[in-house]
Amino acid sequence: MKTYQLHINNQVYTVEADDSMPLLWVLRDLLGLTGTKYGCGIGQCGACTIHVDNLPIRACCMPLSALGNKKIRTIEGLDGQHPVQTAWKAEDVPQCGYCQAGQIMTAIALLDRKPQPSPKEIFRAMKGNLCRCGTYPRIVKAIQRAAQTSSES
Amino acid sequence: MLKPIITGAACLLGLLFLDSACQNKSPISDQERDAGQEVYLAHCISCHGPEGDGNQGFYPSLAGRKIDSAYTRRAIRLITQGSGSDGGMRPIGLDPDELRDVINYIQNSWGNEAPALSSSQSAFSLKLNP
Repeated sequence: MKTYQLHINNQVYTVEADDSMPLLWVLRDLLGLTGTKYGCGIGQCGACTIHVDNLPIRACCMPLSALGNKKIRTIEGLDGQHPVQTAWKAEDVPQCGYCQAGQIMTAIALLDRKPQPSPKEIFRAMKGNLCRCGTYPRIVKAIQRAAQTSSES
Repeated sequence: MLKPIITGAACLLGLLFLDSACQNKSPISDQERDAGQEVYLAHCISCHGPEGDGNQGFYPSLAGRKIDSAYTRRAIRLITQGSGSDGGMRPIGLDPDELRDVINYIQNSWGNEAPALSSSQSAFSLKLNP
């Protein structure tokens, strides 16, 4: 067991854990940040997507020892008024909601890189995030709405 | 008397510059690189890292590799079929364009260099590895 300092949502957290513990376990079980969901545990579904230095990363695949001083942002780091969250509400995207935190984090990372993504770019960026309820058409609409809102403001 | 010599030297310098420019030119365009990077960000970055350097012994590095046809075949097989071992790489469902773009991105980033894979080569690979 080692002691790690993690920079999460602009706060510093100190945790004691094994080097190989996945970040998802640290977030949920050690820090109580349960907004990030456990889906498959093998990086295949995208439910646990968070941002590490603004890039979309699967927290279930990221060992604690690989983080260093990187800046982590989880769904709890958003204020509820982010253009993507507002668009998500306007388009009434979620059904069961389980995958939505990961979907939103991937969408935000996409819009940070490409403020006006084409439908093909949206499809490519979101393809690794699965939704068993099949809310994909509303996800695409919400991303397009968020892009439009951001360009108007 | 000097004019032909100067003209000849200028031509030689021009040819050398052109040769050098051709050698430094990446086999893929910026647009192709961007398309491949998007696939990489969606499917590969969590394990192989933003710089392709893997993850401290947990996941292999893709950077600074000697790329030959065997490497490309293995990469395609790993993406389409996975490693086949418990805890190893799982297959990733990519269409032929995505497969081409991500292979070209990986094989022309982080010190790697390889000829660009075409759409038909990528589609053929998917037929072999459905």
